[in-house]
Amino acid sequence: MALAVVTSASVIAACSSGGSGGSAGGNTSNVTFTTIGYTTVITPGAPMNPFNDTNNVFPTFDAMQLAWGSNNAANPNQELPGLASSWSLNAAGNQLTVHLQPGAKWSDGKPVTATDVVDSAAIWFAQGTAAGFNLGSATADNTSTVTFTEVPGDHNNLFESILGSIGMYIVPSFEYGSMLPANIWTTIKASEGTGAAATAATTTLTNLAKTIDAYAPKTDISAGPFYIKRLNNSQALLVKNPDFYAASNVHVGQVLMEHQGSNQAIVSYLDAGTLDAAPYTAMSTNEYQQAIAAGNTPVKTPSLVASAITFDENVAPYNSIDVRQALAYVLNRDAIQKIGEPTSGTPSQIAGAVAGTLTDYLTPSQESALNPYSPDTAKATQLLKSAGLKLKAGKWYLANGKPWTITLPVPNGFSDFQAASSAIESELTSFGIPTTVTGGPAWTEYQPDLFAGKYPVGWWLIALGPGAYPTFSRIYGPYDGYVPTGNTVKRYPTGNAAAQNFLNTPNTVTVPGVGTVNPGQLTYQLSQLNLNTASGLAQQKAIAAKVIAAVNYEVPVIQLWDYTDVQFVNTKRFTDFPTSSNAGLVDQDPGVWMADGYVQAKG
Amino acid sequence: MIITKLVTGLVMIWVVASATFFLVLAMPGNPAAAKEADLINKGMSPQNAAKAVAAIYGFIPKKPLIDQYGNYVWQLLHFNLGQSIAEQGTPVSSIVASAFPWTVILALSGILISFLIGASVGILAAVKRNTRTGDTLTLGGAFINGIPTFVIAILLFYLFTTIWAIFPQGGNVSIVYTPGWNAGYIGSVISHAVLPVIAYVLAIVGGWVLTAKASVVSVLGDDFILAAELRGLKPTTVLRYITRNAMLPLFTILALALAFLFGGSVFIEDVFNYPGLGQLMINSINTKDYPVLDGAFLLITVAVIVANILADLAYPLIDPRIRR
Repeated sequence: MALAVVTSASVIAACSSGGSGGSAGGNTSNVTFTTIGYTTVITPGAPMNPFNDTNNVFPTFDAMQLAWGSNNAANPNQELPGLASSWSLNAAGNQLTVHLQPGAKWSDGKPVTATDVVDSAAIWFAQGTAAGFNLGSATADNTSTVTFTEVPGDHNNLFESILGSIGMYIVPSFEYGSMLPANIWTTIKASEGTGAAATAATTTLTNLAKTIDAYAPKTDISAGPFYIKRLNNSQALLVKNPDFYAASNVHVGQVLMEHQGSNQAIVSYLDAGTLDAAPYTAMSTNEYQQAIAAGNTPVKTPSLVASAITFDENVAPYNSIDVRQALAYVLNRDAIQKIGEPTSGTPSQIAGAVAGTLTDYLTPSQESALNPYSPDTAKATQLLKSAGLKLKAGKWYLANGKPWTITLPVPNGFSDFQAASSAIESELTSFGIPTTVTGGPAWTEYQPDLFAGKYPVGWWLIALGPGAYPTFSRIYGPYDGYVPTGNTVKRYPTGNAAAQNFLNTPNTVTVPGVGTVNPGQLTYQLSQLNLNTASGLAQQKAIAAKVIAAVNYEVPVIQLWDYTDVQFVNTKRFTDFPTSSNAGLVDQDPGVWMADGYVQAKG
Repeated sequence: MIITKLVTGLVMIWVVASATFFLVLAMPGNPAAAKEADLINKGMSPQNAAKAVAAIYGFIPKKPLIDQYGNYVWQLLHFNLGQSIAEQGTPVSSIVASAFPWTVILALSGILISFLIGASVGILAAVKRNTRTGDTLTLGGAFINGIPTFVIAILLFYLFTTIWAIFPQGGNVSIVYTPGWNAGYIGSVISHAVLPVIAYVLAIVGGWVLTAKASVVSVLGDDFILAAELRGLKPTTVLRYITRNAMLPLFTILALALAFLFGGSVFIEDVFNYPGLGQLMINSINTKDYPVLDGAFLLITVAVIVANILADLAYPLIDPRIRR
């Protein structure tokens, strides 16, 4: 993808154990570690406030969360410890008790307390992020223990992943607490109700969010391994925080954060050999090889996201399983991946999940039973004819006699989609379906157009893990009209603002060998399981297997390639980087590596 | 005369400000959608992203267009450019003001250096117009003039920061140095500005060469030059006559070149990741930060109009004939 892609990873670490260090102890080096904002683009004038919309803080380096990552494909609740040393979920799965790291301090020497966490959680509510995890309240049990409680009557098994999800930062209460009204939790509770009181409370929270958002600290008070010493319009200099709870693990004294202007800028830095670590960057084969030639080492891990061609099943002939299957037989996914995403992609299975995670959900026999849809134009021809389409003079005609043509819009900026679209255009046109690739708007405008039913055929990102529910809900979730509401799920048609239904799959599908299933309901069920129990994981596996079978049979999308997360490290100045074998850790930002004892200066 | 020019300038600013306001609003998309997509791309679920965006952008006014325009003009009259959408709570004026000096450093350095080089080379090309040197200089000027700005910038960036890592790879100053009047910091500011300034110079120096040559050639054919030569004036004196007369059209173009340079800042600053107005405008477009985009456009407009007014006022000082 030309724009930043969601990079995900599989994970390591059990939630209750601290990060395993590469080699703890040793001296702190004076050699500056140069990298680039993994998730932060340095914005001139933006404050060092993680809750600001365009902030200048650096997650894992100075901006801290209770946990990190949670990129385990099957269980997003397995996370890497951050400011929380351990946590536990009650049997009902609605109360989460979190213990802070012993000795955790802010960079001014003050202790990190439970009050900091509770006040931060209040800010999550004001900013609207807490509700997404069904969080109802946060209370301090003592100075170092906090209990999060889910909204009564509502449940989602991603509740626990609130600890490590992006954006759930912990900030010092002595800095941010004064902005919170004394009755903040009463206001939060009122906002979850209905009527005028709820509206008034929501308005109060919105105004509070604006106040918090605008706050610009003069100095960076960090509970992470580093704090910002200086910041200008294009770089940040971070120095080691001696008060970090695991300061002895950190061997790097200084981090220089370069501006992440564009993918091309990162490629240039790599070519010049100036970065010690660089995040995933979309690049051509040539650029990839140049980066390696410049002394950078690629570190590849699975990325939980895949590209796909989608169909609006409200529009003929895409409402026919035969037609969609036929198209899957026509498109050569191996060739398309090599053209579209040659360096950081692998051809997909049509399964709704990336190939590397299928073993989490399927038995070997189930996996081998999946239809690979190997290119087979004869089979495609047979399927289309059985769907009532006709082939005349090398061109396909719909059942109503009109010529069948396809227009494929490409969201602006997605160079991989653009390249792949050319191959798709060529393959479909050769098969007798005249196809035109059009330049679509930017992703931000493309999505609303897609949701409004403007594109019968389009591009989409699916299998967006971690977690089974987020993965499959990219197909059988809101984009197919299924929206969890309380303890149930409702389905909405295209055009209803409550969902973004542009797929319009049938309610049920009869899958050979599986039976009749309702994929939307099944996907919703995935959000309700207790993943901390063996039975919950077993249920997840059984349900996901049915959903995968449904995707593979009814082909609501043609999954083209699975992304691979390709980072680069440079061992000229530093060594002891985590490798691909450190699954999970290596996909976190380098601040987590350093906190866990990795990365040391050479010599 | 001065009052007329000032009033004309104010009217021009109003027209451009109004046109910019409506053009920017006509851009597709909105900041909320841009932010939602950004959050999703960063890993947030669509539901969470939508909730977060609703909280952040819930305040965006949805008044009729005419009301928004009226409010914009009213605030403008009070020198209030509003607040940034992308950087909540930050006044546009402070964002634009922090970017403006960096663009001015590049643009003014670029325009002065290119003018000095281009005019000198142009004069030489005119004086030596029937020699190989003159032809080579003219051809060189035409060649450089034909290369698009962004090509020059990319080429310089690639050659001198990546292939030969002589200059820093972007930004305006290294964070390693403590800001202030110390050699390290000033040296860093200069080293970061070298390539962008060269890009500016190369972007317009060819034009100066050709314009200066044409202007000098036209003056060379004037009777007063012939008379001066026949009177046996020293060549340096004749050259002074030539230069002074030939510079008049160049001076007019100098003021107009400022507009070109501010426009070119979009390409150059983007390539060199230089945090001036050009990069600010690109960032504002990407984040749909209309107020900042309006503010940046307005500042550039004002700068160009003011430069033109100053040039108009200065012209009689350079050319006494205008005063008659």
